[in-house]
Amino acid sequence: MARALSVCRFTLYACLVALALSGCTTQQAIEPASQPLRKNPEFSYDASGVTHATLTAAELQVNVGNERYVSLVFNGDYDSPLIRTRPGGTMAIRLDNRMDEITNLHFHGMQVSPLDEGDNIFRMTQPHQVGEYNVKLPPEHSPGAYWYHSHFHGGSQRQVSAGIAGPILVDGMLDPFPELKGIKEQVLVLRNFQKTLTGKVASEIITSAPSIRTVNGQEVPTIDIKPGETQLWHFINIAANQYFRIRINGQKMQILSRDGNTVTRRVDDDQVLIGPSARFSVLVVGPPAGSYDVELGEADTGPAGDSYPAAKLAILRSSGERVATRQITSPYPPAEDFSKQAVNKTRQFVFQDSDTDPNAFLINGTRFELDKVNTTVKLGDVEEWRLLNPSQELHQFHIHQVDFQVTEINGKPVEFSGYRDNVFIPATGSITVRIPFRDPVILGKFVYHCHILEHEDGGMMQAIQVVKPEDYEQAVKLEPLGGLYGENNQLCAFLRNTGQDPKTSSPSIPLVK
Amino acid sequence: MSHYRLAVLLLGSVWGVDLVLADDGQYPNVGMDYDATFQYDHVHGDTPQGGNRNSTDAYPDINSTFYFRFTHDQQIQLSTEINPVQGPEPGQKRFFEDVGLVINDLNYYQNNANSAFMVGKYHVPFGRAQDQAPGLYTEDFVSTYDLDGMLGGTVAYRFFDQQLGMIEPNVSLYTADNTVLGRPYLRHGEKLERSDGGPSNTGKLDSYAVSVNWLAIPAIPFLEMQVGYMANKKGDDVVQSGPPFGEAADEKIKIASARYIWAYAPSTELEPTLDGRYFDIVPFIEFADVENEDAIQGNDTRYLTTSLTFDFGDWALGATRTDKHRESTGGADRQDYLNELSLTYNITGQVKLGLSAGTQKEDGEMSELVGLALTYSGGF
Repeated sequence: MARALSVCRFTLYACLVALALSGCTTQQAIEPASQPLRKNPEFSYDASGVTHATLTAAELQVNVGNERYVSLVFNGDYDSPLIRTRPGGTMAIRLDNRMDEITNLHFHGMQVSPLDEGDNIFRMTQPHQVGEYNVKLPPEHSPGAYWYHSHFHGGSQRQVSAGIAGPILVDGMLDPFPELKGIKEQVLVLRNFQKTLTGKVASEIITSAPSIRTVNGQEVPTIDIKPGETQLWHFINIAANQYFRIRINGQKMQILSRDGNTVTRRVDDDQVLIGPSARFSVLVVGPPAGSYDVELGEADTGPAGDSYPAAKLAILRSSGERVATRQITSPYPPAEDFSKQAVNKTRQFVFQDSDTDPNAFLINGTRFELDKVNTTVKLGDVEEWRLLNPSQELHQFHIHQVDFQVTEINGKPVEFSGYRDNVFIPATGSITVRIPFRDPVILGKFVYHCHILEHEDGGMMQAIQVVKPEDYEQAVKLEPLGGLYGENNQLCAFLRNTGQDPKTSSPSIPLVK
Repeated sequence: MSHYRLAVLLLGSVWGVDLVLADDGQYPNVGMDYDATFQYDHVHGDTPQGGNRNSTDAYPDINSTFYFRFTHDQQIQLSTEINPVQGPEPGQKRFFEDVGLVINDLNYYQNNANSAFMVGKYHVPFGRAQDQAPGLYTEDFVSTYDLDGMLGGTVAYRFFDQQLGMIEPNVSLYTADNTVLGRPYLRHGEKLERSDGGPSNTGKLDSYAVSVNWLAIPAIPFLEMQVGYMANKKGDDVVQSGPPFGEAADEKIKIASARYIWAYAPSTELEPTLDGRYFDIVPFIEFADVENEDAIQGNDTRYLTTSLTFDFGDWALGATRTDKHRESTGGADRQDYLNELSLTYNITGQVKLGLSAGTQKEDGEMSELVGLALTYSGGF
């Protein structure tokens, strides 16, 4: 009898384990497997260079690839709108938060003001409230691919996974290359959505769990090209935690831009490694007629990290008459090589998993504190940061408002080919970057963090303030109180803290409505 | 908190998965992590008594942790474990038998920018062999200082210095659990009684542990060290003392450990890491000096755990040896040991297969061990 009872118990446990192992829903497919790649819904700029957009965030049932899920999305679609702008333009964004949760926006990679209604991640939009953003791009802003996403600390991983993120394109990337004028551009927004049994977005994100990988919200779409045709593809990784390792079966790609920064020399590769938050703009030439898989390689982020399987991401379908291939003949735009310059300051940051709490992630032994500034930098300085990772998994460094140059990986020099705004830190390794804090537009408070958002939510983030040299001492004194720009990162707080009268000074730019 | 949220939270606590809200950044909320292991152990005993000394045990080990989060940094956590509460007798063959549920944790936990604080029923953070030595059986072998389910609290603080790295001291004050939380459920079994004696079984918060972790030293960033001292008061209501049990005495444990991660640098570049070619070697050593083990006067022991782990992509190969040396007051000293060779493979990010084989000498009995563990982990 006892034996029979044991077998029953075993059956029960086996069923439970099998149910858990399945770990995914088998929801009914509602779309055929492969459809032509959709063009993203788009907000573009008017004659005065202003892009007006309303992003309505709400919990809705939407198509995620070929399945239906209740998720948090913008404007009723898992494929979020593309915001198109140009150097010198303005993004006037209305964030209509119809969710039952707090959110906000970060304009990832953009060299714009972090203050007030700009790219200010210290502002929140409460449930069922509206937040206004007025993001002015300097005329010399680098063209290329960027993105916007929730930066609500503690909830950013889940919200970004759900859909509170979308692409931005700053026009003008091909201007230095007139020989490429008129080539077709394709925006490929890469995403990962965790499958659940409930039909709702997962509340506990497990990066290694079975998931749906999409391009522009589609599973395995078809991208059309003619043999010999040159196209510009913008890969934009807006997944919360995942690395995308992409190959086009048998084809080379020419990398034109990384993270919205045009490269300084020709860079060819047969695969692109796109970390969380990274963007790669590549030239693809149509191969001989036929179908070619766009493959996503399996990924393992280290013994203490995550692993996820390979997948087919899209199909490149080459057909029609052969056309002439366009090639770059113009020189690449030059960029300053900071590795040849003296730096004003050297700092070291240790990005580390907590050894006692699996949900805690640290920079220099601390977890993020919203009301404290950790680093103060003088405007005009070029700093060298050494980023150490003693953990057995990758971290992905990102700093807001500025680009940087990677100069060393594990102590070995890296040949200069352009700037980045995010980079991996090797598991049990180090990376060295040089950061120019020169553009006055970045004056204010912002953050640097690991862009594996699980780690950011777990505390792997610190606040930095960039101040004029004359304000440096006062700014350092105010670090424990939220810094020179106050807790909410506002110009009026800066004026108060530097003894100026906010009412009489009032230099703030009026909002574009 | 909105009425809706409160209602969902309360209903979720009662009705389970469908209504659970996990850590979505909105508080309060509830969530759950779990892992389910199917383990099979085969032990071949070699004793002077002879007879059938092969024992087998197939069993589940299901760990669930439920969180009730007040804020991003403050939560109550309840951890339960479903597994056989006792190991098999020599020669016994078991298949999903003697399975019960125990409560390992029920505590309030707060993790701040530089400090952490925990109070309730919890695991005392002391020693690393139980977590860092590869294989399936070291944890049991060093259970003398791997204290689970104690009542009390711990305070930890993280200091960071650009030259010294991170220094993390913690202090724990605790006692053995004689409450209803200490008994097994869904099977027979008794909770620990005060009269059972043993270390920390006093009913008072008079046992303590202090340990210091030293990590991320910029000059040697991949070296991790720990030193610690634990003092467990003898049970003061012991009925079984005197020969053959020995006089009761306070148990005192000193510990020191070091772990180093040496990674082959080219394998840590992004492409080889993502491609599953990351490679490192991790040596680990821990020494524990125990005075009056199990709170028995003169039962002095020393543990030395040494291990080497090779991580290669989804694979981990480990070799562990733990020596336990018992000093005898009269006759010869006794030397117990555990040798273990293990292999782990991450089948997917959520499913892991572990194989382990080894030899053991414990209380004078030799045995060979073979184990297999298949683990699935997830969360809601």
